Amino acid sequence: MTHITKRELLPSRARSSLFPPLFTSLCILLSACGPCALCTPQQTRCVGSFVEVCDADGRWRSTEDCAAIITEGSGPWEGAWKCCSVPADELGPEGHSCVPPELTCDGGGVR
Amino acid sequence: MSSQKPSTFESPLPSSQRSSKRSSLTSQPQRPAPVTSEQVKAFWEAMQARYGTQTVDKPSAPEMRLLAYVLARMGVTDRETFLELESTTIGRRIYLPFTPGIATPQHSLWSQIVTCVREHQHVEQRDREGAWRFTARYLGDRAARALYKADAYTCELELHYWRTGALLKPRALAERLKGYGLRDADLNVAEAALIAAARTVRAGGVITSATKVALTWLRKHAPELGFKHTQGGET
Repeated sequence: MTHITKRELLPSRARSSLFPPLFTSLCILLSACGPCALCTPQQTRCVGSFVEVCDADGRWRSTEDCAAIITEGSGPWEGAWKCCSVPADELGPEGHSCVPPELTCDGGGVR
Repeated sequence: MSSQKPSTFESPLPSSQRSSKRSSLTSQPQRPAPVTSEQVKAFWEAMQARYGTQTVDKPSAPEMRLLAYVLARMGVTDRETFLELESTTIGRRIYLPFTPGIATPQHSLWSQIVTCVREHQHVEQRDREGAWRFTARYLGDRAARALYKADAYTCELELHYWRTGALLKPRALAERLKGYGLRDADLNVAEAALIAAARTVRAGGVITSATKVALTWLRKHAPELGFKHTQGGET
């Protein structure tokens, strides 16, 4: 009797094309539990109005909600702050931060 | 949930996002008015009324003396530092190594205001996430604890900027987390979070809920404590 392994049920091309998305999906599903590090610690990014930082275990964590920021010394609402990439400066390397409503933020960062 | 007083300061102003509102800041900003004992007492009373918190004298509290002993035996922090310098918030009880309104060499009047806001930010975190979830993550997840602390220290960034127009150094703030059982990698992440916060603060933003409450009170009752007041600007 011929023994057919699971590997032989899928042609090699199919195996190679299915593996990366399957692995990525699995990682995304499991990332909430922590076993798959999906980011590099200290990385930052914008997700909607939130600034997120990658923690020491490789998980994204929200640190600032730009939509909830108020402008010091002015009225309660002058337009919404937004999350944007910002260049390196004396405070640290390039990253992401909340920027005031009057600044324009596009894919290339704050202007 | 305990914290020490700040140490290092950074000279004022930024580069790219410098707002025109800040252009009046000279290289030698005027000193804002000194803080009075009455202001500190009134501020603490207002914050406690707003959050429903109570203060406890830390050095004499039996539970804190026991905790100090345990932490010292574990090598986390020495007894004197924990009892005499650090504040600790558990639930709605804030254990203080000073009496609000009475300045000491270790606890200036302004630092007592900053401590009040920082500790109430921990109350905000607990309210936001729920007592059990917050406690479990704070005690059981070092990466989460680092970011809770960074969030509370953001209050210090915000208040220092309001008072002086200068930024505290994110790295110096992150270094103060060393006594909390964190890894070096956690401190680096806390610094990354504080850098992001410092950029927002420099652009004129107020991030934390406790600082929003605090500044509302300070602008109304003690605007002279802010640097913009001495600069002739709005507070």
